[in-house]
Amino acid sequence: MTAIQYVAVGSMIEVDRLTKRYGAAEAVTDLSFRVGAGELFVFLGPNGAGKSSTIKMLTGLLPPTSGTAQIAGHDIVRHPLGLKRVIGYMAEYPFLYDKLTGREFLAFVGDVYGVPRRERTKRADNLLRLFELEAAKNALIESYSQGMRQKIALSSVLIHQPSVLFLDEPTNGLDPRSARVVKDVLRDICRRGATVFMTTHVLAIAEQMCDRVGILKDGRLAALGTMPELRKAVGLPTATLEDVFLHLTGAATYADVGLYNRRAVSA
Amino acid sequence: MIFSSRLVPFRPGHGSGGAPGRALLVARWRMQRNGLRGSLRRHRGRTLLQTVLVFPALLFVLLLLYVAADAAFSSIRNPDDAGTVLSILFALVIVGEFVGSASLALQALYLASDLPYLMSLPIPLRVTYGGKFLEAMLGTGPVAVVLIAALAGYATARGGGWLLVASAIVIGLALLATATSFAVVVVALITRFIPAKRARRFLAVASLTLVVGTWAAWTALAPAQFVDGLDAGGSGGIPALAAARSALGPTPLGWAGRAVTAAGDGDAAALRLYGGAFGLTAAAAALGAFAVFARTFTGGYHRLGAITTPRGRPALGRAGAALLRPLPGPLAALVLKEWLTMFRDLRRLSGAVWPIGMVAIYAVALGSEERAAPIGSPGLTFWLSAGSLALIPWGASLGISIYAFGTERRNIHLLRSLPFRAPTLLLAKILASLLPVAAVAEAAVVVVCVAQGASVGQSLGIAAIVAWAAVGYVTIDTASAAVSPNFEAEQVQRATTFLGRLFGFAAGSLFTVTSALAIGRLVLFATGTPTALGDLLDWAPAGIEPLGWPLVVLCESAAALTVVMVATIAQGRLKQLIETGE
Repeated sequence: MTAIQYVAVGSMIEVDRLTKRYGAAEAVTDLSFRVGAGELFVFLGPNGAGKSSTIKMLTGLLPPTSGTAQIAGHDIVRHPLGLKRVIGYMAEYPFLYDKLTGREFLAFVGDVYGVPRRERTKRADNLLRLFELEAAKNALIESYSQGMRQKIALSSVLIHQPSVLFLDEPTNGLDPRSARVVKDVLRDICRRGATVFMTTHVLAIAEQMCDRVGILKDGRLAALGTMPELRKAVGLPTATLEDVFLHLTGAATYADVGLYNRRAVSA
Repeated sequence: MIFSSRLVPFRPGHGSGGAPGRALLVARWRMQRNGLRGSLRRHRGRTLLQTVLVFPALLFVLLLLYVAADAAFSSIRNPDDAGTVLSILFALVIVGEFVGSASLALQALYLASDLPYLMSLPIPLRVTYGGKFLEAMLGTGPVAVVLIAALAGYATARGGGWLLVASAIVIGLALLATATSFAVVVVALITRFIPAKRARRFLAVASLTLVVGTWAAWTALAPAQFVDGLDAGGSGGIPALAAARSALGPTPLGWAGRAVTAAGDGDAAALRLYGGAFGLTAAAAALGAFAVFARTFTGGYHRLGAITTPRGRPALGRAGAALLRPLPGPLAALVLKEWLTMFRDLRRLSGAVWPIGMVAIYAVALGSEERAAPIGSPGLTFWLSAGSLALIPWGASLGISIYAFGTERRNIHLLRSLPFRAPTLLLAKILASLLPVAAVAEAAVVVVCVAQGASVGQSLGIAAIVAWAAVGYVTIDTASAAVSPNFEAEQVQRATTFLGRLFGFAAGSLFTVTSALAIGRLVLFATGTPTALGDLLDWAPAGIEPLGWPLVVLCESAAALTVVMVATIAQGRLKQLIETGE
């Protein structure tokens, strides 16, 4: 299935009134949105806003309490296995088998997804070269630095060339050069028709890369749109994404910080 | 875009799903191979020594069990009796496998660190389950060793042909699979209905209950003269086995026993009947376990994941902090952290199930036993029966202290980064284990003393002996845990290497012998020498009685020296660990 076909299909992620409760606590409430083919969608929110719960539901790892969602035509509840075949998911703290080498790990993931052996080797070599891991490809992952672990994890979600990528903080621990590679790669695969759904706390990166932004607050969608749409919505025509985010989520102000410091000193 | 051209071609689409089972197997094999290579490269001497020691030791134990089983089955003339003995053995194997595999199943199916990752891949649940099931089933090595040795012994005693060997292997594996299936069901149900915090303790309690229940059933079904009665059976059967035969005969365990004996006798029809019935039971258990797991997994998994921190400040934390107030701050903080994590960590608790189960059984058995005055000294009666209570701390310590360092896993680097010195760390670990071990042992002392109507002097004496033993064994086992920890072990039973455990066992044995000689002599001072020993203890060349106070001083010093030396070695090892991380 090619990128062009997906573009013709339209929405790759369709979320309708998705809700998740843990006992009495509601982590995600009535979430509804769509993400199109070839779109890079950035999902933002303060800590505990429900971003991870949403990603886990959309990747078939967490059953929703109510509501539905379809990823590339696969219902997240009824077709979890089909869903997992078309997506790539990188967790915030990705799991890696420490006793495998980088190359062996990519081979493992490629085999799980049924990538033919020759093709798998070619793609693995490309990715290892792209992320500058060639010299370490035969070293055990346990010897990798934080950045190298992040890069091998990212390679592993790209090796089967998924239609939809879910990335939780993909630039964690990366040096500026590697972060730039990641940004370029993600933009490139979107251009080729894949959809990227990512979370990040680095708002500058989000602003540079995104087609659209969704901002979650207390489990509800506080804003959704392109940067100009968001600026218009908050009434700040020259605002950065950081300004918009802080405006919508109500962060601590300098005055609050000053008050805390004065109290701490007097105590 | 300065780098993107190197990625071409990228065509987003569907993966075919491939062969995830095969991919997982290959990855597991590579991980084992890489781990062994790394271990050989980094610690060549230690790995070779372990190989040289482990394999002969295992072989020796296997041989010993095999010879014992061969001798036992050779003395049984009636095939029905042999079948019953096999059924009893199978029952014990089932219980052992259940207790061992229940904690492993919880670890492998719900707590394994790679589980969230595997769930994010397009791997069918049955494939993930199959791999984890095998992990839990084969993780209980000692049980499988006992089973293999016993069945091999039976095969030799019956002059075993290929049919017997093949049947024994199949039935042995089916037994292990059945026990693991039950363990999976229990774990799945517990995690489905009980929050993780309580589920962990609940599983330990369930295992403990099963161990005590098995002991009670054994007492009821197999009288004391069971072993003596084996030779007396003749063709009419062994009377002592009648109760066990009627209880186990109609059960799947009875069928398994009869299937093996039928294979030994070359009775193909009986083998088909009983072997088929047991095989069907095992298959039903395995399928049922998977069905229960598949239905409850998602809920149970998220229940485990969702509830990981206790709400508020628990009572244990408050009580512990109050108790530890007199200690220096860093030491108290370390001990409190140990208590809080120890009682919330299933992996630590699961290691203590067997030892504490044995303690409970032993205390009850000893408390209800009446013994005749031994070897001509009525005053010794109490000490001979209650004296072995001093071994209880060893059992409890083997379940708790011996894993003190390996269970830290990656957190050891956190401890390394904190401003502690090696002696503080070792002392904290010793103190943290000492309280629960001493509490369990002293509770057993109270039960036995009350049941036997011991005097105040006797009670205080035995309590002091048990306290001495607790300090010694806990120090030795904690030190052994520091000497050779395995920070990569997911299973608590592997948190200290074989070498470390061997070191602990050797030091523990030396401490036991020397302490027993010293304390035994002290007791004889109080009760008087039994007539059976005659004038032996009064032997006095050159006017000195070497078997009097000199023996006490020498042995007690040797016991203390053993403890001090082991602790010193451990301290050096910990210093190296803190400084270098290796």
